[in-house]
Amino acid sequence: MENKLRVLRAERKWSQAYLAEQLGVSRQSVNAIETGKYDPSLPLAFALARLFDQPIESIFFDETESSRQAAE
Amino acid sequence: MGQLTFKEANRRYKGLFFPIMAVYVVTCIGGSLLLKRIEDPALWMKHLATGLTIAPIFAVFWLIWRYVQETDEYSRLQQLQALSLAGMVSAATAGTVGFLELYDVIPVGAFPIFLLLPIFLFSYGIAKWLRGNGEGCA
Repeated sequence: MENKLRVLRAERKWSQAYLAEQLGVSRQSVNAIETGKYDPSLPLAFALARLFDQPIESIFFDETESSRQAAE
Repeated sequence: MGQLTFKEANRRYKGLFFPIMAVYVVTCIGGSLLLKRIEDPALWMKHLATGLTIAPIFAVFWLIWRYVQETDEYSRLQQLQALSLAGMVSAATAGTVGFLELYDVIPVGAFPIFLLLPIFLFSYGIAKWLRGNGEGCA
């Protein structure tokens, strides 16, 4: 699973620590999600979507699906 | 998400961890010193010293269990992976020692069974540090 969390966070000039505070998780969690080491649960993904005011599918996307679409 | 935040869970963990460890150090050292000073201590005294020393050990395991339930999902994953690894290292050590004793490679009782506790805790600490890439949460 890929995501554009880092981009969205950078657009708002939020630090990982600030985002973590807003979500009630550790900074390591935010870092792990951003670097693709960890895929969040649905509740956390929804919390991120609410926070960035975007649908989940515009934040998280399946890399195999996106590469398949690019090939088409 | 209907549960504590990472910070709250961390604060609750650390708020009890250090007092429990202080009690452990006091009972561990105090118990052994007291039993050494008393000539032929009664069995109930030995039971009491044992009970007081192992109570903080059970308490800290309960604390880790509570932390695993209360912390955020990624920290929970790290904790569970570290606990699994520590359990596997301890069980593998116990199994190895058991077979060495069974095949008379080492005498029975040569390896004190209570060393499994520090082996478990050491493995848990190392695994947690490795899983957190040294960033270390609680």
